[in-house]
Amino acid sequence: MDERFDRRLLAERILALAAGERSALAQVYRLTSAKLFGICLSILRDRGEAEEVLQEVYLTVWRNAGAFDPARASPITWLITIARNKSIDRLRTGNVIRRSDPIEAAADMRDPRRLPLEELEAADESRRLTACLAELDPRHAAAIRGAFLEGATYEELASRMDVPLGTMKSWIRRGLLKLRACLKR
Amino acid sequence: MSEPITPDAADEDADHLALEYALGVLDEPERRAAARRSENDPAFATRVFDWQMLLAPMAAAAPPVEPAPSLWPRIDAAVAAQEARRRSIILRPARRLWRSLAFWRGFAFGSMALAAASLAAFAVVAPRAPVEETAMATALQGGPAGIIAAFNPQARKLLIVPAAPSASQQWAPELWLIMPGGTPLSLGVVDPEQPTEVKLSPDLAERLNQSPTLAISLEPVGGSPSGMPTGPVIARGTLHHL
Repeated sequence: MDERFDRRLLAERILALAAGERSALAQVYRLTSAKLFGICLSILRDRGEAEEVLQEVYLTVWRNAGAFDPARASPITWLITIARNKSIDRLRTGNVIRRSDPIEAAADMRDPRRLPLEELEAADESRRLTACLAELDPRHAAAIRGAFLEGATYEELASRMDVPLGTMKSWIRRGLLKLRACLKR
Repeated sequence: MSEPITPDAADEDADHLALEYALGVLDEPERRAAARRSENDPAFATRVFDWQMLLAPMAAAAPPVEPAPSLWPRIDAAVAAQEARRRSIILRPARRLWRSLAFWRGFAFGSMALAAASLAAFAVVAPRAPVEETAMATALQGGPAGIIAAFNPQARKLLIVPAAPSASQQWAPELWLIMPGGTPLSLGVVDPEQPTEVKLSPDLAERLNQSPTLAISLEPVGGSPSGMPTGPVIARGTLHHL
């Protein structure tokens, strides 16, 4: 499937949703649910919790489709941000018991089929980000990845990497500022 | 001696907080505070948005996983239920009436006359009201003032209608939103004599689904100096789905 076509289709479906065409949600779901579920699961590490959050995510997409602005965000980026936000909110407030480690949870349930969304992701952007992450101090990059993919707090990252809290804060801040500078180059 | 806060330092602090909120490393109270700031400070919200956009491509590292096949029917049903609830209150097209202040004031008086239980009162009045796009409402009570609040989720507008107009030179009624278990968030000063429309941010509008409490306190003209209620609460009510 052509990447640009898919991206445009998804944006168009979200705009249709905003215009009140409820059936567009089914298409948005079909195109994106595996990707967004993967994100929820990598943060929550529990299928039941992740499915509840995924339901909230699509209800939010349905209600807030009007807030999507294709001039400011790619559709998948917008959806990923909602999925991460909801997952982290649940993780912080819901006393979630994480049953397994992230790698296991993901490996267990990986879908063998090719998913259309892989084409939707801006492959270029992702490659640039990976290249810029590689320029960082490896510990800073690891902390940033842990925070993004697992929803870890400063405290959790500090204890996991066995450094004082202040050091972790400075790693993350310096790392991200350097990352932003690299992406702007 | 503390250093003066320069615009640059404030900028840097805002940037740090925005990146921390976007990345998700804050603990629960800090996260809630950052979310609140993002709702009330558009410049900060833009910073958060920019960081979110910058970070999102990192999600390529999370492998896609197919959710259970039973999930989509559940979501579809939930959406249909919400839509049906919205439709069931479309009684007649009355868009113009929605904007009519006189009508709203009469409506507010009418429902306040039924006073007793806020929601029951509203339910009785609702069939005759222009509630085409009203999904949640409450009658705020508890003091001398009676106030109706109605929320239109499509327009993200909260309409506050005083039932008994009473202006004061010294005090201004300030509207507060209190999420279950949360601290009061100011939605600004409302007009004591006329309906006030409050436009909510998408995030805030969505949170109204959790049936928050709305309260009105009397504050010095211009609003609470501290950002928290300081004066007596003259009316309060819990926002309910109709």
